[in-house]
Amino acid sequence: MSEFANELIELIRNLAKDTDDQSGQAPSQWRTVQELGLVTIGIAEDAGGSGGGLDDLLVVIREMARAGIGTPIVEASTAAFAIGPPKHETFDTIVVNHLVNLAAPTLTARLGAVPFVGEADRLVVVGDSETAAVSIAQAGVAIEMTTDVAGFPIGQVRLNDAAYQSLPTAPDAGLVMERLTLARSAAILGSARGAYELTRRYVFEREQFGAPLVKIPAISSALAQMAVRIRHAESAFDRAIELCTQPGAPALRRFGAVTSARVTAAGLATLVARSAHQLHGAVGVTQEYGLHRHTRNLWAWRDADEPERAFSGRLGAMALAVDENTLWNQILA
Amino acid sequence: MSTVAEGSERHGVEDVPEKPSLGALRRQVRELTGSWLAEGRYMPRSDCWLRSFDLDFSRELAARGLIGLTWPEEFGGGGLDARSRLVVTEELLRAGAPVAAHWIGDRQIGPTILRHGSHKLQRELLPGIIRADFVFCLGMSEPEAGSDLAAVRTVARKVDGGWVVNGRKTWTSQAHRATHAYLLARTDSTGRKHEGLSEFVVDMSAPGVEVSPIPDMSGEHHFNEVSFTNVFVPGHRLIGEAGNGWRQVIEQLSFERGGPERVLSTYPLLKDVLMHLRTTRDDRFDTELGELVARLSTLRRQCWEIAEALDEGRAPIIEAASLKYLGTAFEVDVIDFARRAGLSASYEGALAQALLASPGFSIRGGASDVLLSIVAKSEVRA
Repeated sequence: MSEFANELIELIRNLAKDTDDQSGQAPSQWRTVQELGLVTIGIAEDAGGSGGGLDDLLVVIREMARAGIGTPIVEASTAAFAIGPPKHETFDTIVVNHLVNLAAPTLTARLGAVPFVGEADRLVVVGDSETAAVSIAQAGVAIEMTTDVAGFPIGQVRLNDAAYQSLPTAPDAGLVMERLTLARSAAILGSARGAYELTRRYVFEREQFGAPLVKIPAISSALAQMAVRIRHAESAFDRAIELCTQPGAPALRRFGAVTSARVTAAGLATLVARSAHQLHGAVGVTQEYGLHRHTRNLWAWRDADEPERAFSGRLGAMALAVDENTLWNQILA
Repeated sequence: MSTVAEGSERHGVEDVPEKPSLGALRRQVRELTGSWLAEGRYMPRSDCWLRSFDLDFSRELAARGLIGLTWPEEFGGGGLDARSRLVVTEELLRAGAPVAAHWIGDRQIGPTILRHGSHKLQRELLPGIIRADFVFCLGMSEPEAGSDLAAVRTVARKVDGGWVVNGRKTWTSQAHRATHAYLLARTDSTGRKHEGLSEFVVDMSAPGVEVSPIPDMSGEHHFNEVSFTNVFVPGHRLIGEAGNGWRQVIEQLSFERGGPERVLSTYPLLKDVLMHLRTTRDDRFDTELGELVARLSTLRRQCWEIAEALDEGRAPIIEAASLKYLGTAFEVDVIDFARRAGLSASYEGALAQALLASPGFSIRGGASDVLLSIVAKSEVRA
């Protein structure tokens, strides 16, 4: 666990005090997050970052999601890891695409939905083994703006002979993908906690049939199931961070742990969103009550970057590609 | 992800990267199960820790010092930590080895005697468990006391020099092969039902102990009913304090829930499915398999966290209840996966064996519904 965790948690709690309850989005907060240098935690100070470790960054991402603060921090921090800190007062975003040919002189591809691309400066494209940086403000980049299920701006991006920078000295695509996967898992876990905390409070306070809802066994069981699954996903996540911050951990083991954390988090997102709404009843679906800030994020993030099934499919394929010894000793260890 | 082929490989892929002492324990177990398997001395099977009984195998483990691994050296134990024991137990389960003879004594009754038994009782019983001379069965459930364990009616009445036991126990696995029974009995019925319970160790050869088989739906015989008619139990066979049995047994149950046998009961079947999918080059189930892999790797981690907590002197009661709840669901989902992946035709034996054993997974050692209520209570208190 991050040694600065408590200070960072405190910082995010203070930041959360001025969130707009209905949208969960506050542009001024994102500016503050940028000004505080939170986006570049985990990048060394001499490389223009804020210092600290990956675990510190993940605490910030998780706590922001838990507080319901919606920002591009997952995309921006991973892009910064891939191509270096953003220019002053801007941020960069990121997309995963296994089809784009990153060896061509210019890029031509449909990239699909890219979060926050309308406001970002550069776009990091993560391919199978390479990454590229594309300047968004150029003729070869066409964007059709829309929003995702959480209400955040995304753009359908088409590249047509777009100029790009290949990044021979940047971290390899696998490492960037690992960071993105961890960051996304952190956000999902934070949001799941946030939804759980609201639900727990609600079933204690809300009285029906002459007693708090939690007195109904089916309600307390559903609450316990959420708690058990959150604990499970947190274990998966802790294991992944431990392996990724420990020098010399075997690559296959890291892959197994990070992918497992992401798959477990996505499964948690589905369960928590469903149960949180069920236990809240009608008030949970109102704009006024804050639950949707979490549940809509959970619905968006479980399939963000790549769909949940892409992660589990890769993990299953890898389990079959190795023998049982390697499966047990590395992927399952 | 492309990181797989890269990164610095400090450890070979053959071993779980961990402390060398743990690796040595793993290798010891693998050598033993490997050679027994090669010689055809056992068939790997699901639910081996309850159903696969072979005293010779348990004695081989004993000869290697692998039973009572965490117990003090004074009694012949290994003096190691809970993590060392976890490494041994998960390798045994992975191999589907015949471990039922020593499992209950090693996991549960030895530790109970260590926590609460008198020094005399410890010296009398622990070395025998460690040598796999003593085989324990569990006299807990009764015809009228299942999930509601505090409802036990078996009575132990104080007499000169000890106690006289009368009553019936049921669902007592391996009682027909056990040398000793752990017994939860009522020593005082004047108070509330959670008061007045006490724990004992009873010789299965004592006059008045009778065992009758209860074959289960697979046709196998592991369950029994055990009746006690005026069975004399010497005074020193009381575990801990008379009347303190409820607190002691709850502690016993909450610790024993947190082990890998709540996760790996069907691992031998999962190995069969993997082999089947590899041989048939069938990639239609990658996604589903990936989900199981994610769950299993996380459950193994949770077992590790529980062992760590025990080593740090904490009581991971909620963690163990959570693990058992999720772990037994995983065990059952493996069977369903095997079925969907088309195993029924080619591996009917292994699949059917696991399936017929599976309803017990989420019942024994605390039914899932009861476990959820334990977690719920802690969430309410939190």
